[in-house]
Amino acid sequence: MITDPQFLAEQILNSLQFAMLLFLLAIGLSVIFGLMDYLNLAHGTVYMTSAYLAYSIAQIGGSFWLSLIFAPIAATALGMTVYFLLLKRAEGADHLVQVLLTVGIIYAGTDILRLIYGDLPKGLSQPDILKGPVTLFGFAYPAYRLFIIGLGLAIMVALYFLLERTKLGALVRAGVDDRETTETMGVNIGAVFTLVFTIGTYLAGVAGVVAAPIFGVYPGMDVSIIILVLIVIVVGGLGSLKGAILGSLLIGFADTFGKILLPQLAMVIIYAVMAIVLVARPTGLLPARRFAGR
Amino acid sequence: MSSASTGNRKIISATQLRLIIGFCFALAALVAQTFSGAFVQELVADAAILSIFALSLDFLARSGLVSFGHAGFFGLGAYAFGGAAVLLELPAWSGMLLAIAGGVIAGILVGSFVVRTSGAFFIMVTLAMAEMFYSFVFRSPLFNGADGMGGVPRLDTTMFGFTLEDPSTFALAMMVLCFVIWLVLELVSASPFGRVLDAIRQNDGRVAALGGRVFYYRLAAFAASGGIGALAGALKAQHTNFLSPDLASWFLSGDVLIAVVIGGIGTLIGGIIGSTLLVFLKEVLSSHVGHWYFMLGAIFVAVALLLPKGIVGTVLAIRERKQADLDAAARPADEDERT
Repeated sequence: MITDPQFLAEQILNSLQFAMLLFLLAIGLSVIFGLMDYLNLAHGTVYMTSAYLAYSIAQIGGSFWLSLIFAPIAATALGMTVYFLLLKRAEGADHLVQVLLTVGIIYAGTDILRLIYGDLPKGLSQPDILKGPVTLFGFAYPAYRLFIIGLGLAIMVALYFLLERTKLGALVRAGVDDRETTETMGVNIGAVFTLVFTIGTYLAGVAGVVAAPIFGVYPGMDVSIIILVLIVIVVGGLGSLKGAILGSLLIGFADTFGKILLPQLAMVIIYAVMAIVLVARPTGLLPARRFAGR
Repeated sequence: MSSASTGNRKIISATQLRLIIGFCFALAALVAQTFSGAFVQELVADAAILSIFALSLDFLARSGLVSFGHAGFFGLGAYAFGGAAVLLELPAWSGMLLAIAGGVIAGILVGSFVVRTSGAFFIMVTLAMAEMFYSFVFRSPLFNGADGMGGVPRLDTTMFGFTLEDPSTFALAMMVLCFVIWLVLELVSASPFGRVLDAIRQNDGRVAALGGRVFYYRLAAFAASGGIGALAGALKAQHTNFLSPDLASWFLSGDVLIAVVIGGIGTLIGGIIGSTLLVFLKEVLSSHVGHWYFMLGAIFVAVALLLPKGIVGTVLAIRERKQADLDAAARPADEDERT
């Protein structure tokens, strides 16, 4: 079946679509870590919260598009509140303290959502205009999945220009590579970091909304994706856009094709990819310069 | 080394303080266990097993590596023991050896590529490796997948004149085993091997520059840690007589890491105190509070922000400060003598 060109093309598109979701989460986590050495495991909780908020907006009669606009903004507002109240206090602390803190936030956040929405999975319907398949190169493919690929690509390009072609991007890259020197040049890294954190949180929120119609909305959806996202960062390398893109693509393809070729051992393929990359390049494939030497 | 540089006025050393805390805690635990009812015995056994697991994680932390996937070893030990005893119908004792050997071998195999990384990278890689094992047993038809497998026996100790089927005997046996492992790890920590691990944690680049083989020391620590972690898993399977993928889950890796951080990382005894607190805290919260995961999360947040060094870590830091004050008071006098 793998030799059937139509099936193959479909699976390639599925891989791309999953890679885009991973990318939306990985880029924020990776740059947040790169800039401040902050290991924020609660990044996935924003993704989950945003998905639930999108479900609520749909419940009160809002369209998917309203959800896509407002749920990530609301989730970002919540995320930044938690950031200023709690996360900020562990800046510069040991990674373990950050793990303890963010795992605590995952536990508490998940329980709050379960209290409000219950334990049963919820669904979010696809926007009407994207329901059903479109014909592409002579075969039918779900329009909604194509939309995710397009959205992901658009955000990739936007982030590329933001990071590589603007002053803010230059400050972020400089901060990731050498924070002390950048600060000595008079840059307020704290402010840059807050901005990066906001953008990263927002992108995680966007991922939550677009993922909801495909994977559903349920307690624990944050942990199941964040582990793949961590692998993306490990494979791609810390702190760089290119690394996050390459890592997302590799894991997106490994996951999709793993499930087809070896359904029993789907996860094993992903870990095999990770193991091979780590043996060859212990710092990942395309890390930011500061992480390349370790 | 320290006595020469700090003069003769000296409060107890950090090691002495750790040992005193350990012996006091062991004594208190023994008294509490003796006077506890049947239900509390189960919690005591739980706490002792989690403590052994925490010791394995904290020993690895001596080399500067903190694993967020230690439940992989725990689950491996449990499934190796259960698989040997139930599926292969081997004697339980050989299942135990198989579990420990499995942990050590997995430690060497996995370690040979994961210990090349460190810091947060290591945290992420170990998490991913453990999830791999989790997803394997979750789907494995051999071990009945997500439903788990019952009928795991306990070790047959009738030749020593007691039986582990009795809850309070089992709890006591776990406590004694935990105590012995703690003492052994304290001894190893004080040995040249432990000193090298300390040096690697403090500055791995310098150890490498001095010709120390950082990779092999870390690999050895990872393998030893894997063996002890697998032992803890095998004990857990005997305690509950049951195998389930939860024994290798992300939550357990988080639990044991959190127990160690609450107690104070790098202190060994801290992991035991943290594990005991965590087990009893979960029990109290889950039986009295409705949405207790929220409370647990809030407590983690509070500990992270208010007590980042952990309980024993904070006590040791106070000793450090007192000693520094004494040294500072002693120093001008020394300088006067010299002039």
